[in-house]
Amino acid sequence: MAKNILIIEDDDFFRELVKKKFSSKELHVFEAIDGEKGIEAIKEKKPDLILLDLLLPNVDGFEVLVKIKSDPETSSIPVIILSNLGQQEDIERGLKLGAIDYLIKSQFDIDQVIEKIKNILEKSQ
Amino acid sequence: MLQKIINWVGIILSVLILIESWFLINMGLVGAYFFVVFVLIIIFFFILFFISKVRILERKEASLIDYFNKLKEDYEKTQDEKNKILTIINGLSDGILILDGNNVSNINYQAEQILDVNAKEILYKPISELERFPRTNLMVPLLSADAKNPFKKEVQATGDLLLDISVNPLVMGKNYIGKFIILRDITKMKMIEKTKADFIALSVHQLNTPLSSMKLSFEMLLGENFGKINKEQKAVIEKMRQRNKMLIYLVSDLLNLDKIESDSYFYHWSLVDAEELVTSLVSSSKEEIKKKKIKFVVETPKTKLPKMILDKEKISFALQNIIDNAIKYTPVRGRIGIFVTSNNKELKFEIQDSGMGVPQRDKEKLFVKFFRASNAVRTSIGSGLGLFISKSIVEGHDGKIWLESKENEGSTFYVSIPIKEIDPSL
Repeated sequence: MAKNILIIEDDDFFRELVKKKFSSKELHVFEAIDGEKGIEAIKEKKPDLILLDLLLPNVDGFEVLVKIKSDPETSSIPVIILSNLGQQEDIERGLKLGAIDYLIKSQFDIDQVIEKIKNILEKSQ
Repeated sequence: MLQKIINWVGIILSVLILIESWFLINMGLVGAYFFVVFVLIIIFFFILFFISKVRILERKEASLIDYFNKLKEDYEKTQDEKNKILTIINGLSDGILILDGNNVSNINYQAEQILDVNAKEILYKPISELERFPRTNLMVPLLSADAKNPFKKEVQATGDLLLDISVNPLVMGKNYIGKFIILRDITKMKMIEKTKADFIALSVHQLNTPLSSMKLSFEMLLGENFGKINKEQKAVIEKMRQRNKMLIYLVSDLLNLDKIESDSYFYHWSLVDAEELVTSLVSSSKEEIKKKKIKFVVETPKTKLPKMILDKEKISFALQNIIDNAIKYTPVRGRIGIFVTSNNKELKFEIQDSGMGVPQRDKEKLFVKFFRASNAVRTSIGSGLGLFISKSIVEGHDGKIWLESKENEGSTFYVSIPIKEIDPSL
């Protein structure tokens, strides 16, 4: 059965590229364009994994992460942060708030990330 | 006193007259004459003795007067110097507290303002008196701490006051007599630093946003996610991808360069386990090494590596940069070794690779800003800032960095970091 990945990202082009690259028989990707819509989508669709940008309009990524992890219905959903905020304090904050990984957009290898996500989803079955 | 002397002179004269009379009566004029001569000779020697004593006393008086004049001069000079120093201390923009033993012997105007205390309330009292005041009660343990070695610490005195406190020993000869404490209000400076750092981080984010979309789109084009592409298209897109990657490195390096060159590149010192540092460096490099099938060796001493005072983030960055270069310039199936040694004085890293090496003519300039070795420029992308930044960070730790290299055979980078005494405030 295909797994659902939610990408919460305000950059349209980046979001489209990730959706195209990740979408396959095994992975179904749906999107949210800001933090507020992201939270709604999480509650509605209960994705198997979330890719979360940090600098988002309305509600920022850190706040979204806090809301996900404080709600018992969503706290177990693995969250990978995908951001260009690369300061050590941001990375530490994200991981402390419960993200399982923090990837810098300008540096990550997309094929490796897809492999990583597949492993995470397999383990969580 | 004078009356006594006169009385004695009178008595002696009377006795001499009596004796002279006896000589005159019993021995006649000759006898009396010899007695008078005898008495005159005695008086003469007595006067000589008296004069010499007076001269000695006069000399002693003169040298005492000189000595007291010199003392007075020295005292006045000391007072002048003391007043000069007090004027300077009171004119400083930093707060100064001087402790004699554990008692406050001096506090300047600026320290009064910073600590919000009146000098009269704490002068000549133990430093623990500062516990009574809201701004200072949290600082007392730090100010009372043993200061045989100088140390520095940032202290959040109140919600809106951040101080940089430097505690230095006051020593006279070999004896420790007290402390010299410098208080600097760095609240505004930290705010500016944070504002600038936030601005730069945001700017880097904004620059990286289009760059990361471009990176991903080039990778997807090359991966034929948008349909097949021919060889020529692949070659062009690959060049675009490389140049985009260069821009990404440049943005990151410029961010670090700006931090180093402005005084905002403060070091955040903490006690770091060198074993953990080495482990994290090795694990960060694993993926790339696996990709290039590089033979990777790490050797550390059998005894545990020490804990050291380091800025963990920066020194990791500096060392990782050198390791990343080793990986970048070593061909597939090459060799990289990290050898770590330590003694009481230093921790030393040797990062050896079997890569392209550095041409002899380029070695001297390798750590210069924006310089790239000629063979590196031909074969790979880079900003030319990485080694400059690594060198700045290592030297910021009072360490040294150098290399040995032979073109086409490989390089060994050496980083040596001194082991400093542990700051009791950390």
